[in-house]
Amino acid sequence: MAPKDTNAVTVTAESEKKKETDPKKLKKKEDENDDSNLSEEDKELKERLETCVSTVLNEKNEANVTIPIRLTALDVIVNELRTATASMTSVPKPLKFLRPHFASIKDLYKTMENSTGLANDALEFRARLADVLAVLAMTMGKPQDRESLNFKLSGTKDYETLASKGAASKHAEDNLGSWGHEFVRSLAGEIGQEYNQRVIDGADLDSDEPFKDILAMVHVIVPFHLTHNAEAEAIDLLIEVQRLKFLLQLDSINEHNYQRICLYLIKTAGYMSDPDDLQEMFDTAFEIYKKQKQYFDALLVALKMDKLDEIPSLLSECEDVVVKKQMCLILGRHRVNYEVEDDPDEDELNELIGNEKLSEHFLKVAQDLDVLDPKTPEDIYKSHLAETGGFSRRRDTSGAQVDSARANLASTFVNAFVNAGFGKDKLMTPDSEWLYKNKEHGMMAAAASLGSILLWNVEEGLTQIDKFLYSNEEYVKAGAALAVGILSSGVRNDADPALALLSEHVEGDSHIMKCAACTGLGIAYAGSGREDVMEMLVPVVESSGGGATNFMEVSLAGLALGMIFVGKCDDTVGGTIVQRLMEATDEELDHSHARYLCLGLALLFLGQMEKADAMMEAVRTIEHKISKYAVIMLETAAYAGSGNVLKVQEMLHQCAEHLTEDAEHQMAAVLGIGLITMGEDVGSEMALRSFDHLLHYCELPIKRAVPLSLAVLNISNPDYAVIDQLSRLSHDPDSEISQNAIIALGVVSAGTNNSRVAGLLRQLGEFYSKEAGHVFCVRIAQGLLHMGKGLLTINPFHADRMLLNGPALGGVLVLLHSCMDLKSTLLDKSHYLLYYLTCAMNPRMLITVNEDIEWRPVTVRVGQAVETVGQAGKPKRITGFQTHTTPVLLGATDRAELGTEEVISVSNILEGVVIVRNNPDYVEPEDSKKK
Amino acid sequence: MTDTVALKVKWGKETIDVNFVVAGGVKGLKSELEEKTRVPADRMKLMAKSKGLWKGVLKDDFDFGSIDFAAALSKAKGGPLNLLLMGSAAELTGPKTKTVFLEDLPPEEVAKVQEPSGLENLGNTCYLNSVTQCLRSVPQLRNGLEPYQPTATSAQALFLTTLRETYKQLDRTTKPVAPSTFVRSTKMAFPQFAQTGPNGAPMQQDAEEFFSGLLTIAAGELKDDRLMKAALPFTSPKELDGASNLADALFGLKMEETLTCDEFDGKGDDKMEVEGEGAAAAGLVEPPVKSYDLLRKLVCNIQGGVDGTSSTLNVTHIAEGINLSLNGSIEKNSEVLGRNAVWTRKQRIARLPPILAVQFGRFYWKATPDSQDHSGVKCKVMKPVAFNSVLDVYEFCSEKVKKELKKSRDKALQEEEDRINMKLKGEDVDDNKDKMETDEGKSEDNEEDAALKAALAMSMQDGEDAPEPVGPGLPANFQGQYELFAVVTHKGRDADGGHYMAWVKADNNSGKVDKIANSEEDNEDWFVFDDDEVSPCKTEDVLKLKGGGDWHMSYLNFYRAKK
Repeated sequence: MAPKDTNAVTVTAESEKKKETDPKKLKKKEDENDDSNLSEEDKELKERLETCVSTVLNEKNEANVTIPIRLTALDVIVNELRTATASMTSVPKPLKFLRPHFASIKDLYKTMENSTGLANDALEFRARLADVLAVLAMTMGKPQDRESLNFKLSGTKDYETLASKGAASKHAEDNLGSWGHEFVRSLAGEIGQEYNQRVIDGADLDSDEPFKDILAMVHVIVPFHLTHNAEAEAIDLLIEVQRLKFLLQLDSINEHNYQRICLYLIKTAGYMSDPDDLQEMFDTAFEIYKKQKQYFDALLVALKMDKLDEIPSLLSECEDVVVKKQMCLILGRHRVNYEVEDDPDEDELNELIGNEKLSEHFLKVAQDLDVLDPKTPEDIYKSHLAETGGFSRRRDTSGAQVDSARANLASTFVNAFVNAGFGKDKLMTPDSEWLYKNKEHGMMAAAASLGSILLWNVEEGLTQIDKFLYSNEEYVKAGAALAVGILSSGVRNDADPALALLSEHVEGDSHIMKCAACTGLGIAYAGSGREDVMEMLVPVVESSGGGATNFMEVSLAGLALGMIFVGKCDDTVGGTIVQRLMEATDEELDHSHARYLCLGLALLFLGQMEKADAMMEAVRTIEHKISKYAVIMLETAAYAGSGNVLKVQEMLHQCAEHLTEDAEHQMAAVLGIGLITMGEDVGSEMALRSFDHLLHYCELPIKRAVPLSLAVLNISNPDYAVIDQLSRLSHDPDSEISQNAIIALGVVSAGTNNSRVAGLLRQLGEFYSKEAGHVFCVRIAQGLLHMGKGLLTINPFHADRMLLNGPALGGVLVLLHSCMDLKSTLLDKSHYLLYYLTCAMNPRMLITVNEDIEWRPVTVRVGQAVETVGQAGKPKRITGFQTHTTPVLLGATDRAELGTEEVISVSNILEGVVIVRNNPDYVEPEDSKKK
Repeated sequence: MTDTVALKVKWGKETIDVNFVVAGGVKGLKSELEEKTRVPADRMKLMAKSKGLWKGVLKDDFDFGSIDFAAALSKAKGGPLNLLLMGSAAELTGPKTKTVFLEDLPPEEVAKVQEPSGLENLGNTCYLNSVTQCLRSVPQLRNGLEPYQPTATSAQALFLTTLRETYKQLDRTTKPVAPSTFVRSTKMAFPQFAQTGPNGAPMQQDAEEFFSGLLTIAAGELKDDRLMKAALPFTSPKELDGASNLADALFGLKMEETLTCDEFDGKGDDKMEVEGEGAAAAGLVEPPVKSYDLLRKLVCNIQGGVDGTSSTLNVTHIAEGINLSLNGSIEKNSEVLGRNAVWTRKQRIARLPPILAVQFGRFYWKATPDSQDHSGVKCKVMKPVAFNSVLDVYEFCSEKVKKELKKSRDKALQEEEDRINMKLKGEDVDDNKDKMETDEGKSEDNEEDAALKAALAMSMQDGEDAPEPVGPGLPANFQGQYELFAVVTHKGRDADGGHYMAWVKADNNSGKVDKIANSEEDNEDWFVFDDDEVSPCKTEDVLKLKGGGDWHMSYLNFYRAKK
């Protein structure tokens, strides 16, 4: 505003003041009480404003008060309004003083509103007046009327007319931001309301025409927000008017704010109820990342959206080899079976995607942490710490030993879990004595435990497993075959030994070999979506007529297919399984293993939301109680990790019925609540509360599933409150509740070595020392707790809890669904299904490497992750941190950041293997130079 | 067509380079690899890592002619083709020993390796359950019962046979046993146990009463020589010393009672002095009266004083209580004085049993003449009376027995002393380096020394030989020490109610045990039998059963002669 104007106004204002002393005096008398405690300045301000208002109003219609004069008076008001500053808690003074005049100014505007053919200056005056009214209406108008917006819109119209007349007003530019952030924010809110109103009134959503006026405003507001660190508001507004793609056209997105924008987009996406909206948000984030050449982040979003077809273009667009390597590392972590072709470094990149170095890295971490020594099951049970416990079973006392096959079986699993990935143990690798301390299926589990012990180390492992393939015992052979599969879980080898060795057994006649081979393939190729493996397993699923034994093979093959094609919605697999379910006899479906066939089908649609709808309809046609169970499994798996509240309510509704038998579908529903809300803090918090209600009011089957659901909410994340709740449930008089709670304790604490859980489990071992089933569960839980000597996790979430690893969740779900009928699954002969957990196992390490993937220790800070989305400035991302030198272990809720400026990391997520490179701008601090 | 192809075969950790002559076929390749790896050809599984070769495992009849090696080589950028070899020369060895599984064993075998089973409560039968469980670990009684064949079908005979059957049943199973026939026969044999309360439920009974009753029946029935031989196989009649039945042989204590008239004794009470002096002056002395009596248990008097009224003495340890009950004063006619006089009664053990039962006098009848319709109430003494895991009865024995015990005790003491000296010396001389050697040397020294000492001791004791037997079935060199092996405890403040439990030492205790804190006592494994619930515990916990609170407190302690 030019200073000349201001002077003019002051002059006019003064002159006017003299003129209208009389009415003012009268007024003053009325307001005396109010004015008495005003300071001199305020009084002056108030008087000035009132003078201006009366000029603007020109109630007496004085001729000498021309439009330009009124306009200047208006400008004084505008100026006061714009420059007013006030503390957060008080209303700005000009607004306060103008309040009594709001109605009269509004009236004035109304008289002018409908007149057309006004002169330019009158038009400008009207437009200006609308601007002022819009600001005043922000606080004085009724919220539902959206007066502020309406005034603004009509003001804009006038400016447009002016512009079309070639007399563009100087006020038209910057006519939003100059009124202050608060005004823009309030306007944005009203735009959203207005938009909704117009949609309700029948405006066409897809066309811009009905919303032209407000969209024009949006196009001004959004860049304004973006350039003023208010990304969240900008995105919110765009979401409200459903024009998110507009973000992509803006050049106000740059390297300073894209991260905050994308973070907000990604984190808010979870709250979108409409799948299309959700998709659009991710798409937008993806595009922005791509535009900013942040290929690693773009890849994460692509993985989040399951858009695997974007991978090749991202990799080829990315020019930096090091970033490519990091991208391949995350592909490996996410168990994506993608093969790089036509790239100068394809061998190296494929090696990274195939996790071929995983074993090497893991062992090196173990060496660094000094945990290479194998542990025996007794090291885990620590029966000497038990207060009274079980001395009669102590091994070293009496000469004549009697082995309990069940106890030994438990020890086999404990041994397999605890020494997983270390390549050495004290039972299986030294000699084969332990093998014969197990019975039948136990022998199979023992032989298969080699696979877990030698996990990820395919080439060396195969040589060690080889001799077991030639055993005379069918069970040992089956176990060895399974071990080959387990060994290759999550790692790729060009020779494809699992497929090469297991294929003959899948087609063979031996029942137990067939079961082992199917399970082995399922574990080895989980998430890979390999067609050649599918071709092998589909005939097994299609086979029929062999009674219970045949159906078991069918179920296990179905489960394996589900694991291999997890989240892929493959038509052939889905069709085969659902066909087999429809053709199955009632006896077959009554078989407890039928659940695995259903689970296989459900896994196929894991996280794919509405894509499962058609399949659900198909499954509904099955005339057996299992159809209900299968439908709920499908539905909950499809919405796993989505936090969809509507689905949660549907599941809760399923639980309303009081059933004491045939309530499998209710158990699936309870587990489903956990599944849907997992990985999302608010949702899981709410789920915890609804579980309390379920425990209070529901029948046994539902209560039995509650511990499982608690487990799925906190995989490898021993939260204090959840442990407490599970500990309570583990003493429940109902044996199935307590057994499930014990297993759940194991899942919740898996791979953490949590001492509290260890203590609880030891106590439970004593408490249930006479109940064989419970003791087995306690042992398994102890094995899980100390999994990989505390170096592993089975948490399916990774990449800063953004990505959900399908095979990992699938592996955990196999365990949890087995728990719905422990007696005929894990406590019976299908305990080897526990090895599906190896699909979920991953080192919870953070190691830093240089560009050539060689170790490069740096200092990092590790602390509790803090949610920073939508926060102003540069908030701390972690709290309560400690500084370590890599390699370090990360907990489920931990986050790491670099503790030195010497290097910069390629990805901003520090998890697993992270490539770092020298910081070119790094200057060594002075004091260290002196040393 | 290429003649030779460079191959790189990965085999475990090793990589083998092979220059493969294509014409040699699969056989040629395998034999070359066998030479290098020693893996038998039929155990070789070859898988191709490079692309463009065969799929899966290489089959023996595979025709290499079908492979375009040139294309494969170009794909591998001219480098060698990669193969993966799986196979090992190692054979899987069979089990060294056949494993026996608990799940395959018959129940009686399982029962041997698992915790002993409990007895179900069939309506206030905890008194019976607890005593039965305690006596279950008295092998002599079990052996004696084994050949027992009742001559007539009396209630007593039935009682013993059902007891035997109950034990057998317990041995056979891992589940709790319901001793219904035994309870029925108990009620037949002891009608007082069949009483029912006002609501028809069986009444609470006294465990000690049951124990005494059981021994009474055993005394009446188990007299046969055959039984005695079975129970105590190497026992001479001299050792038995008049014990004519199993109950007396196992639990019986022959008591020597000496009554001395206090009123002649200079040490008598002051008030008696005048009279006593007079009598003594008259040269009249009432001779001590000696008599023998048979007891089947010792009583630990907690009250203080024989009649339980004078509580000047505060008993805090089991030895004090036993001592109190063995000594006392009674009023008895003195022939010399021609009137009733106060006599000191002194009981001493003249024959020791292999199993020693000690009853804590926790229940007593308290006269309440003031009450309306009662003449008194049955009360329980709650105060703590400590006991150790070993009870030394030396002090309670007669002079003759003491003399015999002393021989063994001195010997043992001497040996212990020597051992300690030797150890101290041994450790002074050399460090722990050659521990084994010194240990051997020491033990030799020890033996020599002991022999020498023994010879000395013998000569000192006028050539007196090994100690005379002091009771049946006792170990040689018995030192008068008994080891606690079972306890019946009572919980509750009321004498007519509460709950009995049995605490029995586990029989699989090996030498490897911890100590309780810093004490000399071993912390061994025990079982608590709470009717059908059996749980393990430690000596430490058992020694806490001394009373003084609301927790269980010992009522009957069973000791066995310590070897």
